[in-house]
Amino acid sequence: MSEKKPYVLICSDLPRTMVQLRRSLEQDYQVFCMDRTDLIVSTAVQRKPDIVLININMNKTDGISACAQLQGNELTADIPVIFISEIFDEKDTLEAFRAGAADCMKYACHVLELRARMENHINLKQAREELVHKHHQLSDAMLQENERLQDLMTATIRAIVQTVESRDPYTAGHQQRVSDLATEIAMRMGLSSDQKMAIKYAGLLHDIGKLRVPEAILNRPGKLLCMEFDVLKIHPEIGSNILESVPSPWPLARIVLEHHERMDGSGYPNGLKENDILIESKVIAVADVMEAMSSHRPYRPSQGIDLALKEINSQKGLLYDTKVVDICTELFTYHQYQFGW
Amino acid sequence: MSVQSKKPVLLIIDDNQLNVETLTDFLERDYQIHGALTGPDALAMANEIIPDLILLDIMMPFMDGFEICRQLKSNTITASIPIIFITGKGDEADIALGFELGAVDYVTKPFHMPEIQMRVNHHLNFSSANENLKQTNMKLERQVKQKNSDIKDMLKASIRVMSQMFENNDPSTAGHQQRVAKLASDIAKEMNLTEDQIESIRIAGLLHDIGKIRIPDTILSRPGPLLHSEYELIRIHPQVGYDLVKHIPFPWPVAEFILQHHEKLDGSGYPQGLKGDDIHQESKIICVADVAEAMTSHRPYRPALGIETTEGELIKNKGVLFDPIAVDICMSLISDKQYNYDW
Repeated sequence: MSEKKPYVLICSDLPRTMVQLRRSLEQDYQVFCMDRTDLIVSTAVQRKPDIVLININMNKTDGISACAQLQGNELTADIPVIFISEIFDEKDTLEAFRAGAADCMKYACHVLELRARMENHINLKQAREELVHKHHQLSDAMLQENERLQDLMTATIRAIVQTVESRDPYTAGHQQRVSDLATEIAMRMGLSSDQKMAIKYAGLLHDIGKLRVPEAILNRPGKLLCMEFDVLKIHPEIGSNILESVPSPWPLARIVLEHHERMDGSGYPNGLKENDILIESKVIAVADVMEAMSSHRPYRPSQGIDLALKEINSQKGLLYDTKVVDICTELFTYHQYQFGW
Repeated sequence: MSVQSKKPVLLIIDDNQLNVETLTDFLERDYQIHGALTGPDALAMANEIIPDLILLDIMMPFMDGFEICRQLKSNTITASIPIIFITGKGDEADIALGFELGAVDYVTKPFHMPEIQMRVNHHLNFSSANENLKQTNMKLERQVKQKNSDIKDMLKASIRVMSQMFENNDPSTAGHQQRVAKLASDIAKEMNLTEDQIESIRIAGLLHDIGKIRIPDTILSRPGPLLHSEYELIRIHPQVGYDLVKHIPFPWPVAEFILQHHEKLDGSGYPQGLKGDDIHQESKIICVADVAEAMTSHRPYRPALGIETTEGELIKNKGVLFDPIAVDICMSLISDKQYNYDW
């Protein structure tokens, strides 16, 4: 408070006391005086004083209720109020504290005491303000860091997806479309928002293990030989190994690992069954099949949405999760879901 | 501090046993009360129980309340405990001194117990709200730090994943990026570049060939000379790498370092044919490390070319294609048989 004089608002109905207070304070404080208690809140809102002195003698309850109003208004609640009154009895003093007063003293002429009490409360208020200010700063920093982390994660995933797809342009967009469909299914299944996010990102990354599969096998028209197919089957493990080192709040590596597992245990790499498979993986499995069958590939034309729906429904409960298939079917049949490009 | 379900702890310091008892009788319903009759006792006790608030008399033998207050305020353990003077000493000068010493309130005779309780309550509430804010702020501070290190981890992971993806795709050069990153950052260290530059060189080194992911395996690992158009195709990799990495918010222009790692001093490099100072220093260093590592390593399509051949190539083109200082340092590093490309 050395650089700028603190602002004190004095409300007094004794003109002589008011003058006396002004004189004793105006050298070190910016002083504003008023005598109407009914205007105290609007004046305080407008002038934003650092402290309020109330010296009301004719109608003590008006002074106390003015204090209560100041404390009740969020714009002025943090301004300390000191009552100065020679005629306050014990009951009045208690009333004043109950109304939110910070302090009460008896004699306006005790300038030394008054200044000490004022300074005390101004200091306390400043200490509080500093804490609050720091709190806001930290909260903002937290928001910013969260956003940075989010951006970074999105950018990383995007870079990974682009990297995979720049090698294998034929499936370019495949992961994006699988992710979109799987997220839509997850939403309608009422999965938690964490699960939805996990599905969204794992969907975007589910095929990155194909990097390790030679192009000759990856894009081969016609049926693959058993051994070639075995090579193709390494991709969930490779992808999961790569993702293990990405710190994320979701089990991305495991979801990717299990996206070719099937309900009856006929999937790969581990032949997991039913409840041993993550629901996130089951959702992606269905979306993966839907997208793959219905889109055009260099080695075969699109087989169409209808055939894809027929396939997942004929294997419902056998290979694919029943609820996922039902919701996916509903999406295409009743909600005209379309893959974006 | 005061957990809601627990009573706040008050320490009453007064040499008059009767005063302590009177206050205790009145306050013990709402607070847990401790009493101390002398200054030294009071200081020891405050230090041990760390009360939520202290009621302090002034006129006491040996050590008066002002002195006790001074000592409490100068001890970091007790400094933030609010102190209320409660005394018969009511001179204005004393009151002013009490506040100056850091008390939050000063109550004089005659005492009205309910009023004292009001004041105690007011300051307890105020200071516990402050304490809560402080705790929250400390927690937030830790969280912000944590997020910050999460971000760093995430960046590291991005680099690792990208680098790993490439090596999965092109096992013939597995480890090449790692070794270039090591050699390039060692060169940078010897050149006395800043820590930041060294780190950015390491990262760009780890990712410099990522764009080769777009080049068909058949061209990439072909033994023997390439046809002109095949070679042309390989030359897309700095641009592809740039496009792949540019959206990752590194604190340095890592994507540009990657883009320029095949530029040469005389402008004969690619993709932009940049000359001399137009090329990032970081890229020039990676370029030298890249050539040195590639020539000294075994490839499926040819054996390692050996140190002499490599040095011959570097010396021949020092100052023409390659940064001369980087070449000198690189040669002195790799001519040492003990040089370790591993981290």
